[in-house]
Amino acid sequence: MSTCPDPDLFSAYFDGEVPSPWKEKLESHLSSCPECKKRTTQYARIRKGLISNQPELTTDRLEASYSQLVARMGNRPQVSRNEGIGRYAQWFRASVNIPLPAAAAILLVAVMIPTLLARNSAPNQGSYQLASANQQALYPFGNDVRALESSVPVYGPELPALNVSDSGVNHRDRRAFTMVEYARHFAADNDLFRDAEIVIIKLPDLTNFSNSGNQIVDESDSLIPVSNSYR
Amino acid sequence: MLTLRANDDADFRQIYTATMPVLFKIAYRIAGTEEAAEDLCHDALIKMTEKDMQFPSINDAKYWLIRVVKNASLNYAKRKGRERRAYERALKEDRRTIDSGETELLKSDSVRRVQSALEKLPENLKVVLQLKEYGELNYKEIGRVLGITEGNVKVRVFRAREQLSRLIGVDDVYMP
Repeated sequence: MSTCPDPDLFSAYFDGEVPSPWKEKLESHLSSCPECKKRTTQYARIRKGLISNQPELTTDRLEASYSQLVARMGNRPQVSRNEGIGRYAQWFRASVNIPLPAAAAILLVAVMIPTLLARNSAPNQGSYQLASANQQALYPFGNDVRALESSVPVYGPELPALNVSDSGVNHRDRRAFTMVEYARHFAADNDLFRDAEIVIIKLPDLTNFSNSGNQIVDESDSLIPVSNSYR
Repeated sequence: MLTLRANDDADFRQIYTATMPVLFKIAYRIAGTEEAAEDLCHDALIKMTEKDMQFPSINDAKYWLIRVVKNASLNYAKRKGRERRAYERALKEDRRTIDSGETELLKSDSVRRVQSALEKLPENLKVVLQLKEYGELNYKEIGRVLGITEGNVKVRVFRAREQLSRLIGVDDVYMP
């Protein structure tokens, strides 16, 4: 018994995994040892038991299965080189396949939202125009206000628009026309602004003024409204 | 160097023809039904194209596919086994008997005993023997599929056979 080779050798021998010199030795041992012979017979029995009832793939069946596989893969013959992109393209194509009612609903929303937004913004535009109209009314310094008459009383921005003629003022020498001068000329009380160097104006809430707001008349003697503020 | 591209139609056809029979055998033995086996093989081949696999040789493709099919089939069998056991518990239903002639019954009974004994083996031994008997691979190839050494394959095949012998022998004693 002790002369028997390791039993795992017979398993390997049975699978044809034992190379030539040892293979023959095992074979000669098997012919003389009933124990080891029994072992290999058992291996053969197991193999037979395992591989019986094996369904065979006939050539026809193999072909049919291939057709099924191709059908399952869909566009197998035109499959792209880069399958990843192909898959995303398929996903995209599938995802934009929207039912008609849903598409109609989306279109409706797409039309309605800008309309609603336009409606909402329309009053804002109106109020903006109103505001500029107010400014026009409150600060009527168009080309009409070229020159000044000391007789015209000015108290504040609430006064109505005035058309003032430029007679009596030599504005050729005039470089700038300051708020102090404006106040001296237009104030009802001629002495009120005589010694004034600055004039503090309470601004209406709806208007922003730039920092350089004290110089209100430029070279061309006109007041230019720059987006809600005056220069 | 010649490479096989999974996404090349001719190469794909070649891989299919060369590997489908063996893949089918392995999948059938692990999964249990022909329909499931066919589906599992198709899944593996589709996965191969989706991953845009390239193989230096047809055998490399075979090893890769066998590994995928083996794992998928094991998962399938586990899931099915759980479902069947739950079903049997719920309905207390016996396993179906084989209706055939007495000699046929005896023959298939011994076959069935071997195959059910295989199910009792631990997984690492069972898979090696399945690849050996159904995959018709040599030890080296099994080693490549499973990622283990050739010597390890040899030991596992031997142990699997020894355990099977013991299981069948025990059955012989208690089931005359």
